[in-house]
Amino acid sequence: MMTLPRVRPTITDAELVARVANGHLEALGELFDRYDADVRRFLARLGVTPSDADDLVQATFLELLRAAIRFDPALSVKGFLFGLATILVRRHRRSLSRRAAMLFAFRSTAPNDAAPSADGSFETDEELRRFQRAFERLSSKKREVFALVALEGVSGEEVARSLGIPVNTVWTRLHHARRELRHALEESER
Amino acid sequence: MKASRCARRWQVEAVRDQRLSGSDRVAFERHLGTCSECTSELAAFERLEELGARLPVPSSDPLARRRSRNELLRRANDLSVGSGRPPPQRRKLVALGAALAAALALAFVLLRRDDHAVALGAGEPRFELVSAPGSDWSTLQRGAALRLALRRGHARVSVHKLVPGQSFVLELPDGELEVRGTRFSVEVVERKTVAVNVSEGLVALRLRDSGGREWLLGAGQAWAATASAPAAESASGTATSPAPLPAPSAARLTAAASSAAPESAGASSALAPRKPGASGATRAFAAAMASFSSGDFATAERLFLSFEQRYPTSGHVEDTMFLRALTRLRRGDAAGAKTLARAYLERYPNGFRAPEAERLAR
Repeated sequence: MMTLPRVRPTITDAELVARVANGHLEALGELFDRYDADVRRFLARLGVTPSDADDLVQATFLELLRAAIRFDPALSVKGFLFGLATILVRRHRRSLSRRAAMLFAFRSTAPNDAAPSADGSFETDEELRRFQRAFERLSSKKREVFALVALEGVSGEEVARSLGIPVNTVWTRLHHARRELRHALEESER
Repeated sequence: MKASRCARRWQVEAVRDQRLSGSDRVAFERHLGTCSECTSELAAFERLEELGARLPVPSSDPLARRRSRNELLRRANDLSVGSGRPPPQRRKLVALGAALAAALALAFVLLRRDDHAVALGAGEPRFELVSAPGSDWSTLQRGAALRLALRRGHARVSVHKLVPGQSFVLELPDGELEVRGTRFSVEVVERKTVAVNVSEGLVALRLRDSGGREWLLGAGQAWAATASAPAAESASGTATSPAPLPAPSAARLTAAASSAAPESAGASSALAPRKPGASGATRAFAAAMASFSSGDFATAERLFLSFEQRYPTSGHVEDTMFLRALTRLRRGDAAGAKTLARAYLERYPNGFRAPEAERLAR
C-alpha cells in the first residue's frame, strides 16, 4: 500500500505571530525559517556589515518575541520584521565605533562588490557601482525608506506604522532618495 | 534630470507607490501612453529599483542558518524562562553575577561529587550536571552506555555530542530520558517527573505509565505534567502544545509535549486532535485554543470564559484568564484587555504571563 507523505498544515504568518505572542517558541523558529533570508538581505541593504548581521538578525527575531503582542494581523509580518530590524539598526549605529567600522567596511568593499556580471556589459556594471556608491551616501532615513518601499515592496502605510512616522514623511523621504540617486547617476554620466 | 514640462509628471511617482487608484489611475495610465516624458520618468524609477535589487547581498550557508536558528531559540527560551529582563544598565552586572553563580554551583557539584559531575572515563560520554540543593542523583552505570538516576529535585544537564556506540540515559522514578547530545533540565517531585526543558539538541522521554510512548523534545521545546490532570492522563501526554517553562517549579503550567507519535506530532493546543482518554477540561481548553488560533476571537473568548466557569480549579484557568485579555486586544478593545489583564495580575501576581499581562495592563 502506498503511503502518502504527511502534509504539514499551512499556518499563516499572522497565526504564527499570535502563537509567538502566546509564548510558543516553535512558532518563532518557523518564522525564522520563513524570513531569516529576507531580514538578512534587508540588513545588508541598510549597510549592516556581515559580521554584525548575525547578531542583528537574532535581535530582530528576539524583539519579535516582545513585540508580537502588538502585531496587527492586517499588516504583513515581513514589513513588521523589517520595521523592528530598522529600529535595531538605528540603535546599533548610535555607537560611534560601530559606525566607523561600518563606513570603513563600505569604503573597502564598495568598489569591488559589484563585480562584472557574466552577461552584463561594462556600462551596466559601472552603472551599478555608481548606484551603490550613491545608495551608500544616502542619509540613513532616506535609505531605510527606499530599501523598504522601493526594494522590499513594503507599503508606505506599513512603513509609516512600523517606524512611527506620518505616511507623508515616508513619501517625502522616498522622493528625495530617488532624486538623489538619479542625480548621482546622471552626474557620473556627464 | 531635465526641467519638467509635463504637468502630470509628479503622478508617475504616485502610481509607482500605489498612491493613485480608481479613475485617477486609469486616466494617468491613458496619459502615459501618449507622454514620452512621463514614460521615461517611469523607466528611470524602474531602473533605480532594478539596480537596487542587484546590489550584492551576503548569503549564508544552511549550516550557519541552522546554528543561528538554534542560538535564537536558546536565547528566546532563556528570555521566556527568566523572570523578566533586568534594566539595560544592569544587564552586564547580572550576567557577570550569573556566570559567577554558575561557576560556583559547578564547583560545588564537582567538589561534592566529582566522580559524577563530569564523566571522563575511556569512551564515556562527556557531560556537565548542575543540581539544585536537595536534589538526589547518582551514577548507575559507567562506560560508553552511561546511566544516571535522578530520584528527586532539579538538574540541569549538558551532554557533549555523542559518538557512535555511546549512549546517555537519565533514569527517572517513573521513566527515563535518553539523551542525544544536548542541554536540558529536568525536575522530579515526589517520584514523578514534572518538567523537562530542552535548550539544545534532542532528548527522548519515556514514562512507564504512558504505555511505551516516547516524546521527542527538540531545542526550545518543553514537556510538563499537569498537576490538575489525573496522573494517567498527564503521563499519557495529553499535554498540548510545546511551550517554554517559566521555572522548574511552575511545571503545572501549560504542559508541553512534542512527540514523534502521530497523534501529537507538531500539535499545538489549537490543532491537537481529540485523544481517547482526554478529559473534558482538556478537550474544552483545546477547543477554545483552536478558536483562538484560527482568529475567531469572539468564540475563543466565550469558550475561555465557559472553561473558567466549568473548571475553576484547572491549571489552565491561569492561561485562559490571560488569553481572554489577549482576545480583547486582538478584537480592538484595548480598555477591555487592560481590565482583564489587571484581573489576571490580581489573581496571579507572580503568574507565568505576569510580565506580558503587566504590559497589557499599562
